[in-house]
Amino acid sequence: MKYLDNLMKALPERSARIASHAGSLLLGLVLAVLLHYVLYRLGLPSKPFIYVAF
Amino acid sequence: MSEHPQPSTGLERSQYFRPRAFLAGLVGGLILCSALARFVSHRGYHDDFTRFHQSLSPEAQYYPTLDEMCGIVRPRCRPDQVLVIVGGNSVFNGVGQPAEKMWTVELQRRLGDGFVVLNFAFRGALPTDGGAVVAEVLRKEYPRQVYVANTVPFSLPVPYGQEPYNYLFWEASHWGRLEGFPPRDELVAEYLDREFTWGQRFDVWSRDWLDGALRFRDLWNWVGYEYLFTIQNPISPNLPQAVWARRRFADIEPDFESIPVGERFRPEYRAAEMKIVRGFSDSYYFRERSGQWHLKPAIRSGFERVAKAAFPDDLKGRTLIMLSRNNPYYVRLLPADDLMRENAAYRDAAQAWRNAGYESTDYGSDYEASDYGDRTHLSASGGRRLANKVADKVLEISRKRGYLQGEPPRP
Repeated sequence: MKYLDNLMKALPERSARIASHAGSLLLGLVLAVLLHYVLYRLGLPSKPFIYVAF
Repeated sequence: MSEHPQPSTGLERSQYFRPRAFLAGLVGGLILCSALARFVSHRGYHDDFTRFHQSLSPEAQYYPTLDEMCGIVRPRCRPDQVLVIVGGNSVFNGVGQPAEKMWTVELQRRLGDGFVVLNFAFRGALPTDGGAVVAEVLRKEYPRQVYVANTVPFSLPVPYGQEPYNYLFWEASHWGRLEGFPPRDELVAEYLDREFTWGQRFDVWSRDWLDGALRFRDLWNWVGYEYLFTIQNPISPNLPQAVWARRRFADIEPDFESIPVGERFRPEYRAAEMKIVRGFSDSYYFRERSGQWHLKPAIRSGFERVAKAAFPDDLKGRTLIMLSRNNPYYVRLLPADDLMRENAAYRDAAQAWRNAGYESTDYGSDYEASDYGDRTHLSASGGRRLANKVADKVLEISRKRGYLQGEPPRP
């Protein structure tokens, strides 16, 4: 976190604002993909189907 | 006043987090995932599709989606060709027939370039499962279409299918992609009232509704098929195969023909198999004083009601139901009286399907024991005989429905 603090301090104001927006957007994107995957996993039956011929 | 972040406390650090940008990312990400899923599924990605073999089926925790299956059809079938979708159970899936000897390959060869045959049968499926749903969903896109499936006498073709394949029916139903058909709706409503609590109904509905919007099954099936499979499954339980892309798994089916006929039907299983063979008809029939076997009226009426509701009326005429006979090796062991009942069951069941509006016949009564690999599954030689019979029926249906004369198909 300290590294991030230093980085933000070193950036010009406008760039820091853009970076924080871009970071938040990216975080949203990553979480969207994660949520999408979790929904897929939740939709799967927990036990696989075992086929038995009869 | 500077807006430059001056982080020294947690509160100030929160300036790094921009809620609007975060929300835009979250919503945009979900929209992108959904759009990508729709695109890849619609276009199709099963380049080497043969059938839904074990590694590509619910047995391996792989649940093909409706759009994924439709995407298998589109690159293969031109509008001027007749689409033949094969549904049904493991017998029509071609268990015991390697991909190159599969009966549907032979069916394709016999029908020629004017037809495209796709094997959408699953192990343990009903004729209303899987392929049936895809065929109905594609009814307008491919009006020149024949649906072929197998079953056994008086097995109820419940329109909502059965586990684990019925997710396709619910998916199509909740997404409004099935034809409206009141007799079917009535059976489905009865089933829901009988088997589901309101909470379970909400679960299924909300899952399908959410998936209809976000298409998470489509996207992650594609990822699992093309790149990385992330579901533990009993078909490939160990690393690294467990995470291999499903496309790496070839359709490897044992060949019944590599087993000598004398070794296919093990004596230790004979009693159990004979019990199953007798079970095909014994609980459905009663004997009259004259000694004749008659179908129980309750069985007949129950079957007729379900069969009439299984497919919409306008799709029945292009639906061919093949009744699968047992291996003659076992049938010949039946006492004459049981054999009479067995024959009556196949005759009556085919007639009952026809009375309900479908095309129907049986196969296997004139086959040899070598045409089977076990009691019910066909060897490649049996598959060739089946393909021959089904090809004749498909051509007959196609002629009857005007698919071959270049005229617009009859609804």
